[in-house]
Amino acid sequence: MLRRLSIGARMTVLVLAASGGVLCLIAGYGAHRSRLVLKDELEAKARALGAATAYHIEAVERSVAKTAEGLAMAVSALPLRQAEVDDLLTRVVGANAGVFGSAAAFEPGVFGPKDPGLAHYAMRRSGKVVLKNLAEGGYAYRTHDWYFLPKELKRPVWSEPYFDKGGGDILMATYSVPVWFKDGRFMGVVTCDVSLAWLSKELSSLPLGEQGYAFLISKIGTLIAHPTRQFLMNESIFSLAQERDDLALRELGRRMVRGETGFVPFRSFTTRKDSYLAFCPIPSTGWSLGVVFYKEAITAKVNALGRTQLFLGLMGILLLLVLVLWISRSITKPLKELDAATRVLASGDLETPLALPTGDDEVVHLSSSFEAMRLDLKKHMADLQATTAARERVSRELQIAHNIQMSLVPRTFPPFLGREDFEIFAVLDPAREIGGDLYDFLLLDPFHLCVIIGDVSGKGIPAALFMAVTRSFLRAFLREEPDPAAALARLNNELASQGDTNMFVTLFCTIIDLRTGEARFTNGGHNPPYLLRAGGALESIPLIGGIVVGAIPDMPYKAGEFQLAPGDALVLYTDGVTEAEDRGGGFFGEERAEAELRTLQGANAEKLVKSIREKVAAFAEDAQQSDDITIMAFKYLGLK
Amino acid sequence: MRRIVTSALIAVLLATVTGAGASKAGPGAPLPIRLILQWAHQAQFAGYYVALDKGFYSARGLDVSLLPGGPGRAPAALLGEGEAEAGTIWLTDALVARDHGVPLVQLAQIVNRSNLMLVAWKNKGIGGLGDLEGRRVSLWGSPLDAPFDGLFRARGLHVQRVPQYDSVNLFLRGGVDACSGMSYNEANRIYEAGVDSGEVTAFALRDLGFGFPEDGLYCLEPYFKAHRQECEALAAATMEGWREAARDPEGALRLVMRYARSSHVPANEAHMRWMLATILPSILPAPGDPWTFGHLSGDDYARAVDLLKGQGLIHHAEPPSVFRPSEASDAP
Repeated sequence: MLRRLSIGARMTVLVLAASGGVLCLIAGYGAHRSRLVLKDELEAKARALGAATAYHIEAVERSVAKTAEGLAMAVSALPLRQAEVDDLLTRVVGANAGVFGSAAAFEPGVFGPKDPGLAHYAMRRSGKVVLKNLAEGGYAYRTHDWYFLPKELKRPVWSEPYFDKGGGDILMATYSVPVWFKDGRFMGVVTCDVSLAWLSKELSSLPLGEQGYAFLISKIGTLIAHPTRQFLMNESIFSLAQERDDLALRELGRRMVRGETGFVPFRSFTTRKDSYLAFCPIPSTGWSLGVVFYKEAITAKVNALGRTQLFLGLMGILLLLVLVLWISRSITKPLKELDAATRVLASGDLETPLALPTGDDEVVHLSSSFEAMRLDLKKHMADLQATTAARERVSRELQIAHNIQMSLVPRTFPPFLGREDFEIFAVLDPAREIGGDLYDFLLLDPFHLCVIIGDVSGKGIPAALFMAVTRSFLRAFLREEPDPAAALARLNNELASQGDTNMFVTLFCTIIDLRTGEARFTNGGHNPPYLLRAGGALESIPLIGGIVVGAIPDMPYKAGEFQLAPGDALVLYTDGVTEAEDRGGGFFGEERAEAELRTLQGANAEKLVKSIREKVAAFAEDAQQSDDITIMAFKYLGLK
Repeated sequence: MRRIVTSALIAVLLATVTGAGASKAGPGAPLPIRLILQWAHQAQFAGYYVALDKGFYSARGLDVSLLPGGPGRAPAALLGEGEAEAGTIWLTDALVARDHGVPLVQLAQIVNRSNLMLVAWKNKGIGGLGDLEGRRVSLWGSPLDAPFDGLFRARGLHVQRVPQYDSVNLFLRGGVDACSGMSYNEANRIYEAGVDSGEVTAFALRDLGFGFPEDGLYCLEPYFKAHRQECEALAAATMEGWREAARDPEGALRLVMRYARSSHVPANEAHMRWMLATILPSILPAPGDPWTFGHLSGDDYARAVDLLKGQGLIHHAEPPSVFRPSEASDAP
């Protein structure tokens, strides 16, 4: 898929994908981290807020308790008179802003045998301190917790919060100190009330905003202060747990009323929102303060942070996109140009120079290499053209020379129409276009046939020209004087005298009297021909010791003779036959030639030549021909 | 004091008016009846709220108003003072009041099975009844404590009695080792104060042979004689209210909460639901339960009289036909 895209597009996609991934990881981790940090912050804030508020409430309650204890000491120490008690209570309430009301309540009979029990009470009403006797109006003060608990527990007690119907007629908590006679009898209690109205105000004034709220529960879990007024005094944290069948909430409530401090995940009673709750005790009353923070406060912050990060991230990616596009363009532009240029190059146009970008990068190097390659190619092509042209010229010249050479040897067989007293046949297969071999035959007169075979040293045009010269001279000398030895001697001198060429030729030359079969011959360093007698015997023309022609002037060439009978055949050849190589480098050799000849008794001249040629070809197979191969056969038939 | 005097005056006036007008009252004029409950509004009285709300009283020509009780507002006393025409009273309470000269007659026995119990701290080493020996036990005042006394006497237990009023805070703060309670009320109030049921030992008095019928509907004998038909209608309508409450407890619960809220009584739905669910089986018998709905058995009556006499709380008891006149005359 990606492979199909251009480098620029691929680079853009990959870089954007990679950086997008990295960005997501960073953003995710950031969100996680900031959530943790915010949670820690929130916890610290909630705990601090809880502790401060609890401390404040505790301070108020302690001062109220201290007041009550001081009052109790005064009451137990003084000789009791009702007016004094009233005065004392009025002054205590008047002097202590935190005290809503104060009572001194006694067992019956404290003020005399007919005393039914008195409960003096001073309380605030409309900004003034008013007095009342709680024993009147069916209040039954001795059944109330504030009176009864300290009496039974024999120690000062904070009451559970209660609505003091018929007494203070407000929601309050009372600190009651039991008072005893010196003889240990219970005298009554002295109390100070604290209004709970201020607690709700205190808690609602905490800097929580929309992020949460605070609540207060009593020693037995009753909700004393909570934003939901309906809960106050009606519900306890345990009744809410029971209502919701929420055992975790109940367990939390038990921790709170045990006076523990903590910070726990929490689900708001009212809003059902996921929250955190920090709680801490208010030791003197055994109450517990809870500060609730909605998780959404954190989530909102994290989300806001996340939105900012996302926006910045997208902007960054956009910027990155522009950058990557610009970079990829700057990288791929020279590549594209190179691509276009190499296409032109590939089409064969080596003339258009490559535009070389500036700089020292890989693309520049590649471009330079391509440019160097173009120039090399161009030069090479030029050289090739020149070489090819030269070769073609040489080749053409060689062809011409070959044509000339081949035109110099007689190639029409039978050469002499109407002659039935002999047959002659020859082949010349040059190793290259121009060979150094030659053969020739000519009738010096109607009864004398001259047969020549030779091999010029070297090959090519010089050899061909040397051969042409040799043939021309030899023909001319033989016509002047039909004596092979003399002709060869003259030729030797003629060729040697022109001799800065260092070229020479081996020659066998014989003149046959066609009437008698007598033959005179001379040999200038050439392979001695074979005589295949009509009876099948194979003879070799005897060596008479002449050296190659044209090498050294003034050399003698001896003459020899042999007699041909009708049916005899003279087979001449050059060393191209005996030295023909097979693929292993072995020579065809004379034995093979002789063996072949022995099988050819009675064959005509053409058959003789072609048979040997075929044997040589079969021997050499596809090995390259290293030398000219020339075979010539003369068969003497005699006059009938 | 002034209020009580005023109320008494009004009561006398009303009694005079209704008494005088009883014979003249046409069928279209509903009879006003003030019904005083033993305690503040709560699910213990759900059947009365349902009967009133569903018009079971008005359908029988009764104009009933429900008065909440509470500390210092004992129905027997208020009936005697003429502050109400009818009231809900415990059987033992009613027997004692009658012996003390308040001529109460029972119109219906609403709660037939005892809900009385003792709740004790396990961590103070109370696992069985015998562990209460010598312990501080808070009990409601006489005659509500009669079954407890009977139990202690029967088991030979001596406990330190501490008075108990309307809260269980003394128990919760460890001031006593055990306290009295109702299975439909205090048991759950203790639970709602964060005490797990595993932390306390509960003794149901009915399981210990000291269960007696509890809430009943009463009026004064002269009133019954003057308004016999209406009194019997009152009982019938109340029982219909209870049947309806059992049929639709959630509907009844909504009424309970409405009454509790309107009288500013601390109440929460969880507790009221518990209370209703716990008290209903002690009112309406399940198959196999030995009582008849609304009916006080002669056996239970005799047992209660014996208990009270045994403790010297009463000296004399009327025969059941006098105590329960409507059933006596119903009899063939």
